[in-house]
Amino acid sequence: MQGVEIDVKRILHDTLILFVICIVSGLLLGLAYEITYPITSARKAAEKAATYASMFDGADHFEDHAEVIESSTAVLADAGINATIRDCMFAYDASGNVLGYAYSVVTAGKQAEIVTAVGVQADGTLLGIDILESSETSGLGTKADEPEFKDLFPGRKVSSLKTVKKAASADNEITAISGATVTTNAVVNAVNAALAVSASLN
Amino acid sequence: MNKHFENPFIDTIYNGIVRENPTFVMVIGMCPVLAVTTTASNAIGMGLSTTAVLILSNMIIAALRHIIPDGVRMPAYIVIVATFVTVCDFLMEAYTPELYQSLGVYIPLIVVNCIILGRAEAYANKNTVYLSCADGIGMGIGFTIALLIISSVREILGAGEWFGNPIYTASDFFAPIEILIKSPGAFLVLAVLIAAKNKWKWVSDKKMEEDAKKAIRES
Repeated sequence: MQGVEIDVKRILHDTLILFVICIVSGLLLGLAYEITYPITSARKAAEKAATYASMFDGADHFEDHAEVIESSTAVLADAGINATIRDCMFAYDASGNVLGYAYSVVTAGKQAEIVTAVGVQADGTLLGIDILESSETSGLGTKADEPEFKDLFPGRKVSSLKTVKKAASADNEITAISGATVTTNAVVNAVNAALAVSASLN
Repeated sequence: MNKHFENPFIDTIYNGIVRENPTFVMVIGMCPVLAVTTTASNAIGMGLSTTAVLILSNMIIAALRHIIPDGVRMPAYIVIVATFVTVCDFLMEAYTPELYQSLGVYIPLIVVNCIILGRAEAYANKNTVYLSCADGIGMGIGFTIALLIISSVREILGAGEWFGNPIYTASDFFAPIEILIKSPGAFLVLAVLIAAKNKWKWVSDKKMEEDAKKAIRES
């Protein structure tokens, strides 16, 4: 190592300071997370409950049916749908009859996972969708969370939907959002997953 | 354009907005400029959140400028800025959900915005907390104005809307130029605007030069 002087003291000093900065940053992050996580998760749960309630007009109460999450894996694998059911709730009317099923479905979007809430009536009619979580391209993929797109779904009674790039002409067709075909596919996939699982419940 | 102010605080702010505008003069931070200028409201959101982070990160780095050793300053800045942005992200998500809904997608992008690191390296590590704050304000506002101009051109000509409000309807006479709101449109609009800015600067520099010559001749 001719000509190169290694100043051990300096290296140790620099490393130590960087180490301290990282430790302090890590502690701050942990602290911020600890403080905000309960608030954030409580709000997300409340938002989800509100979304489910808005889909089922006459619903009296909802009940969590976690066992559907397990049974859905096989149903979705058989149907060839690449999606995961994150949670499933049954909606009941005042006299205890099942009105339908509300799901949070996770599918792959353009950048990250998209979580879509899907409401399906007991007879298989779609009641509505909503985007719970997404990080799609602003101005393109984010249009999936606008009424123009979401209103395409309620009222349809089909076994599965497909995305088309022209104007939709059949009841099972959804016109892709311009510039956001991947996002549209992700949402349509989520809806198909919910429809397939609902069909298996009847 | 090359005006100077006596008050160093105001001069530093003016420097960020006009003389060294990050977008039109220094041409840094191009990723957000190209990516989020599809609508004017996106531009305002990105611009203001970057401004807030920039002011605070500039001040923290200026305050720590004698502590952070030269050899490890880059990783130290990245750790500080990333921590700061993430804490902001958590706090916004918990306490201002409405704001988070509209700005949330931009917050993680701010970490990698090179204006933040660029100003830390070029300004905040050599100047006082007070002036670094002014630099953050100036650069942030300069960035926001640039984003607003680019996005307004793109949204008005490309979609016929401004801040999401329709301002004209497509007719036989003029239909929105859709390519402008797609990705290539960002490059086209940015290039035309920088060319226009250079022309303006050239004209104003030339005028200053002639004024100076005239003053010499007259004396």
